[in-house]
Order: sequence, then structure tokens, then C-alpha cells
Amino acid sequence: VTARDGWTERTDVQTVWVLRPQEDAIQVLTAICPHLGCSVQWKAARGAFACPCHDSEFAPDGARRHGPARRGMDPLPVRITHGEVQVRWVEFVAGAAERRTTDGSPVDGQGTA
Amino acid sequence: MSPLRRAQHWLEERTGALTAWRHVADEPVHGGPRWAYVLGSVLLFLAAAQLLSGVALAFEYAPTTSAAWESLARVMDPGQSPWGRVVRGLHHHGASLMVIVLVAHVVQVALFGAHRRPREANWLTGMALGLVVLALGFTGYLLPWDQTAFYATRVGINIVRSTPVVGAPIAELLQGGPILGNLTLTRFYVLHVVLLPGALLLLVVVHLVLFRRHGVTARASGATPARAEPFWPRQALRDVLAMLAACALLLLAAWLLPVELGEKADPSRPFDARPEWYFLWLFQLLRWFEPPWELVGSLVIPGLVGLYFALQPWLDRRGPGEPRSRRPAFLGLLCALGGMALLTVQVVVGDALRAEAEPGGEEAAPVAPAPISPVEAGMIYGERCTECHRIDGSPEDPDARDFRSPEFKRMARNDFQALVRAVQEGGDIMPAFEGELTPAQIHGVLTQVVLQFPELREAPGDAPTDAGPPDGGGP
Repeated sequence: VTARDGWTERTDVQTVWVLRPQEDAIQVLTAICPHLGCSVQWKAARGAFACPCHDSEFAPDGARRHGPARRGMDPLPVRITHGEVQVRWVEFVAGAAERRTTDGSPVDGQGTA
Repeated sequence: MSPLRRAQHWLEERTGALTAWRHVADEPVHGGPRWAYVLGSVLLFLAAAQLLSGVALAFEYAPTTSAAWESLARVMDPGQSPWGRVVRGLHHHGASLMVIVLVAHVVQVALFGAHRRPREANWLTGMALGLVVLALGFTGYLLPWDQTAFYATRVGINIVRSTPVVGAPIAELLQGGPILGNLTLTRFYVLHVVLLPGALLLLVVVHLVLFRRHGVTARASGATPARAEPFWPRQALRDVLAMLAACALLLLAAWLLPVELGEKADPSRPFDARPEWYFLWLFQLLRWFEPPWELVGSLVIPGLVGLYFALQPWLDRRGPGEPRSRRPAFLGLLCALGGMALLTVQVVVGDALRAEAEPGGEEAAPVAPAPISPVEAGMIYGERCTECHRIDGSPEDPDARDFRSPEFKRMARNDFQALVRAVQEGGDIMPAFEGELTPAQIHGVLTQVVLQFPELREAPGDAPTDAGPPDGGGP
């Protein structure tokens, strides 16, 4: 992912969670917590996504369960081209109840393909 | 006139230095010298020490994402200088010690009633100084640009952003761009080394001028009138000894408790972000409130606590100033501090229990050797393998093995360990990676190579599959 960083451009690798709600469907969620931006992790023992900072918990489909987060995990636009999962990286404004991208760009699709 | 006297006279006539010294030395200490009065001097000493160690660090530091971590790693490299680590330790532990002494100073002043009329303005400048010290702690936390720095600051800026009305523009100003990066570093750097120290200096001057205007507050005890004694020499001796003790403690801490530089900031790698210890109570408060009450934890309670501290002189007006009659006000203050301490302990204990329950921090699938993340595997592949192997497994170098070949796939299916050994031992043009990469890293990279072929995912041999949600893959 390349982004403007002051006088230069920076390319980062970003982490996403790829889900398969059905055999032929793929859903991609950003790993950035919608609360304040920590990295959400999968907790197999609890069967949930959880944020290690302020203990927000999300269902396996990313829906908000409990904790200080005001919305569920953010889905990313995804498509499958020649058997390759391609994800468009966007970041979302943390802490808000409604889902807004940081650069104001609209998010198309439901994060599934 | 002796030459010394002549020199003194010369200096006095031109600068008034002797008069100034007499002004300091003759400060009347009401009720006589006490150890309780040393805390302000110790704080002044620690601020000066922070300035010195900070300047030393700034000489070696570059506030950009590509250089911050590297420049600090150089400072801390014993091969460069054995003193770099010590200077960083002095600066890091100096900040902590400052917060500790600050709290002690606040408690002492409140206990003695030294914030009561007519000293309210002095108390308020003291509170402002406390906030500046905390802001210095927060801005300094980002500068090493390690994982802790990155995640703690991301959370911090997002808290600012969630403040109604004013939050978003302030967060923009602090972050300086679409991502937490170069401009965030330059801004935090300027705040940390120019604006906040400048504010600190200014407030210290006001604080000291107001202090000299009113003098120390002897703890009123019955009807004994407070008798005054000059600052020099008996109180000065106590102050100097306390400063030396603080200095010794700081040196000892810098020597015995080395400060680690964590891994370089990397947004792709998960990290359990924790703020500096004196912010942990705020961190814990965030966990307590669910929407729509989350601003109560992040803003309302901290704001009210700040206001409660600032208003102490007005809340503590009853009675003639004897500790007994002022007990409720002082106990209220102690309860507030106790509450913060309790929240802090809660985080520390909670983290310790969690670390015990989840060794390694993450609940990844228990495969041996300890797995590396797919992201790390991808990075290693990019750095070490792509000279000869393309990303899709085809050979970049004509002599390199083709991962798409049936021969490779058969090996992957039947004997994954043979692939691991092949990477470790090398071959014709394949370098040996044993010692270069850990077995876990080799295992992880090969796993990702193998997993890109759907037919191998069905029968992965003894290659580990990703630990992920029951209905999906991994990160």
C-alpha cells in the first residue's frame, strides 16, 4: 500500500483478515480496530476477533459484540481476478459510529466477492 | 581590598550577581528548614537533567520515518559508544522520576495547605506545569519510532480526534498528513524539543516568581508563630542533598534498567499497544465505557479529574489551615490519586495474567516450530528469495527451481521437511539459509509458497495451515 508521507511516498504492507462466509465467497476486513486503531486479533479460544488494547470484541463476521468500539470491523473492497484475491486498501476514521474513509473516498461494495 | 573582593565588586557593579545571590540565599523559610520543602528543587534539577540528556540525544537523532529508529539504534549500539544507552536511560527514566516527584510535590503542597489563598495562582501554574510534563511524555513516546511508539501514538491521536468539535482539526495538525508518518514525527519532535520545553521554562519562571512572592507555607501547628530562617545554608543543604540523591537514583536506574528499543514501527504487524505507565489509568478507563458512553471514559472523567485538581484551592477553603480541619479536602485528593493507582495496577495485573494464559501473546495454531506470520513470511520472501524466484513461483533465474513444477508439488505434498532441508542446506545455485533464517522462518516462507497452489491446500502434507476463523483463512 503506497501513501503520501510528507516529502516522500511510503509503501507499507498492511494486514487484513480474509473470511470465507460461504464456500464461494470471500470477505475482507481490515485488522485496524474501529475503536482507536490497535490491531484486531483472532482469538480461537473465544471464537471471536478481539482488540488487545481496550477489549472490544467482534463476531467471526466482524460484527460488533461488545467493548468501546462504536461499530463493527471495517470491510474492505475486494475482487477476485484470475484466482487472485485483490483488496483495495482504505483506512477508516477511528472512534466514529458511522463508517467514513480517512481520505473521503466512497467505499463500494460490501467487502465481499 | 583582596583580589577576590575586587573581582566580586567588579561583577556586582556590572551585573548585580551578588545581590541576586543574596536574594536567593536570604529567602525566608517560615518555620525553619524542612525536608518536605526539597521536592520543588528536585523537580527543577530533574528538568535540567532532562534538558541535558535531551540535547545529547537530539545531537544524534533524525525525526523521519526512515531514520528515527535507525538513528536511535545507533545511539544505543554499544559498538558505537558505551554511553549512548546510559544517556537514553537517563532521559527515559528521568521522565518517569519527574512524574513520581511531581505527584509527591502535589501531595506535599496539598497536605501543607500551600495552595490556599493567596497562593491559588501558584497552584494553577503548577498544574499547567504538570500537564506540560505529561505532554512531553506523550510526544517523546513517539520519537523512537518502534512498535510501541507507533501504536500508542495512533491510539493517542485517535482519542484526540474523537473529541467533539475541536478534536478533528487538532488531530489533523498533530498527524500532519493522511498517515501517521514523517510529518507526525517532525511535529512531535518540534513539540517535544521546542514548544513544550519553552512552555516549561516560561511556567517554571512564573512558578518560582510567585513562590518567592508568597514564600513556603509552614504547616500551621497550634499557636506557635512561624519563625523564619534564611534559605542559606540549612534549607539549601537539604535541597542539594535531595538533588544528589535524585541524581544517584537516576544514574543507578539508567545503569541497571536498560531501556529497550523495540522493533521498528510496522503497521502490518500486530502489537499490543500500551502507553507509558503514567497514562495506564487513562488507558484502563477507556475499557470501561461502551457506546454511547465512551466519551465519559476518554474525556469526561479525565477532564473532571483535571478540574478537581485545579480547583483544590477553592475546595479547600474551610478552617484555619490546620491539617485536622482540612482533612476531607486532602482525603478527596488522595482518593483521586488512589483511584488512578488502582486502575494502573488493574492493567499491569491484567496483562500479567493474560501473558500467563496466552504464552507467546497470540493464539496461533500450536505448530512446531513457532510459526511466523504470513506477512513476515511474505517480507522474507521479498527480501531473500525474489532474486531467483518470482512471486508466482516461476523462476526468475533460469537455473532456479520452478515451484509450479509437478516435481516441487510432489515434494511439498509428500515430504515438506525435505523442502525445509533443501532451503537450509542449499544446492546448485541455491544458497544455504541455515543460520541466516531460523527454522520457523523457513517453515513459514515455504508454507506460504505451498499455500498459493489450491491443489496443495487440500493435502498439505505436514505443512501447517493458517490459524484463522473457522470459516476463513489467516491474516
